[in-house]
Amino acid sequence: MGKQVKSGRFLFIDQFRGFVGVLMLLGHCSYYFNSIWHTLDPFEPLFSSWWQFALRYAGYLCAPGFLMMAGAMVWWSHKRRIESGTSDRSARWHLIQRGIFLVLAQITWVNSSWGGFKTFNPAHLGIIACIGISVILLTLIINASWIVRLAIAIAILLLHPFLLNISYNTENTFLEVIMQVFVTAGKYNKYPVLPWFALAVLGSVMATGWLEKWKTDRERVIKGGVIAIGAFVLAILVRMGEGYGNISPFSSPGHISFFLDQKYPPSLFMNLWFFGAVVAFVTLFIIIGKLSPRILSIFTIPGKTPLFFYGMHLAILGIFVKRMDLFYREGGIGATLIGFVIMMLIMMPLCKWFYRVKKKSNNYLIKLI
Amino acid sequence: MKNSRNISFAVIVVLIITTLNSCMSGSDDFSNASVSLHGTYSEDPENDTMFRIMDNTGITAQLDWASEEVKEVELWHIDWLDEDGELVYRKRLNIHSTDSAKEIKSYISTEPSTRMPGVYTVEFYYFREKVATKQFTLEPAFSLEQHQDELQTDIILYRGTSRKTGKRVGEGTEFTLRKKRKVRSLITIKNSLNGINDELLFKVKWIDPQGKTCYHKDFVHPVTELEIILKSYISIEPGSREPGDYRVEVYLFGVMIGEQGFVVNP
Repeated sequence: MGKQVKSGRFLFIDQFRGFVGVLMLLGHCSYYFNSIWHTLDPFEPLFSSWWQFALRYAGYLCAPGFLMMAGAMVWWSHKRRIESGTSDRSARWHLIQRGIFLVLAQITWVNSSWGGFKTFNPAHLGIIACIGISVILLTLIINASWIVRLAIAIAILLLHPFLLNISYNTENTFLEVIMQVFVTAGKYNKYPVLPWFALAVLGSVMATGWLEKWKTDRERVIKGGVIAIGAFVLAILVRMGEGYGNISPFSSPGHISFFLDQKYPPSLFMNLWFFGAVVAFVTLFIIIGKLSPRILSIFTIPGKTPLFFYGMHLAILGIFVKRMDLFYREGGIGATLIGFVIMMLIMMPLCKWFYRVKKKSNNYLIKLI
Repeated sequence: MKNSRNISFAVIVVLIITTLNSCMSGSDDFSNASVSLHGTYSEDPENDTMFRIMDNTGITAQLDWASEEVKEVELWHIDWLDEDGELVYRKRLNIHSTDSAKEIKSYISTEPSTRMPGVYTVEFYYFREKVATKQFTLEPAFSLEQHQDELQTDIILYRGTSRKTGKRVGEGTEFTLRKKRKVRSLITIKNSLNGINDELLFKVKWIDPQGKTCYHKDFVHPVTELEIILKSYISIEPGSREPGDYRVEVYLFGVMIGEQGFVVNP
């Protein structure tokens, strides 16, 4: 194995996950401090400047990044448990508990934290619940070979654009909930499971390469790079086709609208594009980790405590900015960046502290966070 | 070695930013695009940045621009924002190359029940990128109480004008149904309005014995005009009108500033 493995943890995975968490914090700082959110509709985003677009688009990497890393870690964690003598049934049950915990974390802590715990809003699923459900579903195919998992992911991604054409009666709450949990996006869920589960499965497939089959960093970089370029080319071909796999039209190749197809739920183009982006970034992190490891060290701790980082920064922003109305959506990009720096200064020591607690603790719940 | 790595890293970052920046600038040229605003009654094309809240009115914003290349679909969004930058209304337009009407326009109501006075902005987005914007002021609804002493309305009703003398004939408030007969109104308004900066929008309504508007006519006059004359008429031919009590009403910015009743006999 390469140098970037420490006590069974792959540093580039932790660092990339930390990077995604930090990007999410940046996006959330924009959500709380940036006045563009008075008019920015996530379902129909419009941008007044390049910087506002860049700020929003940076956050588009987060959901695919988290789902793929969750898929990778589920596969790796299951494999390690089996290798250490745990039964398959027990290893899967551990993952199912983690998935259930994530769903519960979403409908209790996360949903309420957005508004500073002013209201309890359990009737909504989001990215954390989507990860949780994907983790649970992944346990069903975790023993399948990478080729079978890849085939399942591709089949779901190819099928999803057709499922989006299903029309349903929005006055029928049951149907609406089912559709929004699995296929489309709306008030009950912005992250329908099917397309995001496919990305989690792809994460598990990539993990087979990154963490098992590819033995050196050089091999990871070359093969990861080829896969990323292949995904980008495929995504561009789908987009240029302007038909199947597209949802929003674009002005011209290279224009922001080319890259901004629908996110909620993602089009096939978006899934291919961000799958490529995640693989490209992980590859880049392997390269940077070899050339100049210190550059990425800032992401290591958030990457080792991703759920704590996510839940805690949302709670702080929700309580102090939203509920106590401290500069809530009063500024622009400058205010967002200042808020981001302050939040990083708060979150880094907090994450370090929690990581130490988690390492020492045998508490069931703390281990799950 | 370390320096060269840092320089390479910086070069990559600059390249990424430059590429993304060129993406944002897009390939379409909007330097000749212009936004025009039209109020329901506005007739002055030069003054399209000031409107007034009043009943049954609204504003249409239109972008005058033509794409150099024909696209199968053009994606447009038109946002209307209030003084606090809050979204008032968003319109999405998917204009197809086969569409017969390709106007890029949107309308909002400016009725007192839906709109507050203030500075508003209309923004045009082409494929999610802002390409044109225009601000306008929405003045408060006209209040007659505030301007009671600054307006004097005089309504004269008559049948017609003598061809020989040029004088009005048949002045009064009683008229008779007859072929080719008309009731004409001459409305004279002495104007010394203060604090009004936009053009004056008048409406003359003719009300029939059932209380319905049988005819109305709109007038636009500059606020600088000290004496404003409004002329309007209705036919009182048998068959087109019934006998009974009629009324002529004069409105400024949707608020009645004068009325005069009259009788049409069989």
